[in-house]
Amino acid sequence: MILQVNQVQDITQATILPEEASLANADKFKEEMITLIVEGTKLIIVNFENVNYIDSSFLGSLVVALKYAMPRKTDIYLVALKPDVRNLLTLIRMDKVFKIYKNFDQAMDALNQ
Amino acid sequence: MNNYRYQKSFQFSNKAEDVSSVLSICMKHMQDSEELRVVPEDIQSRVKWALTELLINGAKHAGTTETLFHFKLREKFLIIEKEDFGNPLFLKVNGSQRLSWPVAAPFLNQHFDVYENGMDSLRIYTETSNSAFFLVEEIEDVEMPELLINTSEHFGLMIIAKASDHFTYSLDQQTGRNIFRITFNLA
Repeated sequence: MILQVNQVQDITQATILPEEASLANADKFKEEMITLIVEGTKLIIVNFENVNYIDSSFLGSLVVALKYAMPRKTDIYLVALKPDVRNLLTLIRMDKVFKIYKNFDQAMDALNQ
Repeated sequence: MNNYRYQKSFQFSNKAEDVSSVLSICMKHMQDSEELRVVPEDIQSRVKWALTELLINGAKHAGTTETLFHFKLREKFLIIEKEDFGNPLFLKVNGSQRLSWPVAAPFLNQHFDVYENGMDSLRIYTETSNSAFFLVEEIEDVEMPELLINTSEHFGLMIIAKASDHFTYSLDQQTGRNIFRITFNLA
């Protein structure tokens, strides 16, 4: 299991458990994300608070999940990214593709605005 | 004669399950080596990202169990080379065209599109039949959701090209040696 999931009404909080979001767990992460989308949640807030390191394989799985989610009216937010992880997303400009917030509260505020 | 003020080589596993441990060894070497302490902290992060992707690329595509890494310092540049005797580089370019090394004459001295991610396009230029360099070009502002449609799920080569200041590939046809070389400007 890669994600620890907490469901609040139609919003899913999904915390990535491993410290390394990498080739070793990218496929499993993708499967778990797609399962959540299929279950019909409105928003998945992916919590990166445990993640110290991310690679291209895991980023690829995130993009696949978002491509799967959008036609199904599900959105994906990313929260609690550590500076090194955030900087890599910025480098490849994925900060323009994903909505990124400091924490769950900020993500919920954005949703309710 | 090579004018490197520092040069050290390591032989590593080229297997996917060893990427994390090899990366740790490389980064520890960078931190412990007196000569490599000249590498600024912000560039160390870029080195880590590029090394990670070189290792993943090798594990996925090289088809060998071992790889050599060379760390070099010359003037104000950190140069890292990843060398193996596995499969030569092969890319799908311009949509579905196959580009493989050594590059055939009709495909020399040309730019090819490798893939797009968001607002960047990764391209490769075939300098000779045995060498090429990667470059990234910015795409005009595109907004979501079109941005997502234009985004590939592949990021490895893009990360290397954007994290480093120069990224090349070369093939020695006689020996079958592949060299991916990344250069960082430390100035």
